[in-house]
Amino acid sequence: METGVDLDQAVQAAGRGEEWGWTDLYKTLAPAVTGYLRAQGAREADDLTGEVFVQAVRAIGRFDGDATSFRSWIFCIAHNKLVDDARYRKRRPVEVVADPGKDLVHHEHVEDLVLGNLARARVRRVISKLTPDQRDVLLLRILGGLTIEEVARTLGKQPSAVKALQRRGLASIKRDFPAPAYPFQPGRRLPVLG
Amino acid sequence: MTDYERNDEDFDRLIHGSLDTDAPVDDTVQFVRDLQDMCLPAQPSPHRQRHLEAIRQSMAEPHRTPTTIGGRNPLVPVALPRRSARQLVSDVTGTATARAALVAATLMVSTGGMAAAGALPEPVQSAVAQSAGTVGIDLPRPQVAVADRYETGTGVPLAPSRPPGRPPPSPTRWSPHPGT
Repeated sequence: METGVDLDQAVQAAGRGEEWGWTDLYKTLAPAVTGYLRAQGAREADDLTGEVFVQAVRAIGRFDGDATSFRSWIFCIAHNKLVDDARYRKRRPVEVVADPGKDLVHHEHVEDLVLGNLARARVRRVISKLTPDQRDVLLLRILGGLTIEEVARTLGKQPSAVKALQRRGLASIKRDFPAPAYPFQPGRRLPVLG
Repeated sequence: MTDYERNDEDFDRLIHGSLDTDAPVDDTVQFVRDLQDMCLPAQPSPHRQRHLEAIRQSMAEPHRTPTTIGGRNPLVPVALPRRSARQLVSDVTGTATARAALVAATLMVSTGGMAAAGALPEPVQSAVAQSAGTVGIDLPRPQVAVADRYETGTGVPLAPSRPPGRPPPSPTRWSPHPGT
């Protein structure tokens, strides 16, 4: 996430149609939006992120609020895009062919890759056990960095309901998330046995 | 041990990575860290420039939001502009495509009318009547000419009718205007 950006000013500039405002908003919020879409299982999270911002540009005339509201609004668009994407994929399923060499390119050590894959598998398993509402709330909180109130605005729920969903989701994580023998830390070496 | 289910402030600190360094790493902390490592890109997206370009292009588009549609308030109904008969005619005949369509429509209507009256040339009338018959439209067929051609009654054409005394057309060279 970009630091040193005044989101309130950027939102106002974007509302006036100034390019730097949109550039700052994109640089600040796009990583979180991509992360959220990725965690929700969007196949083309990067492309969807671009579409989210283009849609925001087109609909900025309907937006009225500050930076906090804008964050909720952009995640609301992302959430709706996700629903559309899921519907589209349901109608036209695409077979994805895994490229086993793809991940290796980015990892210096095979151990990192293995531990990373184990951590990913654990996280995915836990996420899949959450209810859709718990998943939406926790992913918006953890990846989007939204507050309880912002999540409530994004999902159209009461803050008390969001709190309850978060509490139950965290309880589910505590119950289902198995502690790893070696927590994933990129670059850290495994202990040599024997 | 911190109870993140009950303590929103601690959970906020965990999410934003500002937890005390000596805070115990329990399942919740590990899950949040793994999830953020997994999903939040460490480097700017390689698609950033493409996205920013798309944003730039989208900003240049004329936007039609409910607050501005063509510079008008969409909630106020606007009467359709009245158009004169001359304007309508010029709209219909204004472009080459419209003119071509008009000519084609005129030809179709006039041909249809002539076919219905049986006034088309024999072969054309026969073909049109046959085509129309396949879709259930009964048009007059050139009966006389057919009777003249099918003298045997077997349905096998013998030869094209020609006036008596005129020589048959050459098999190698045939002119529609004999004697020219």
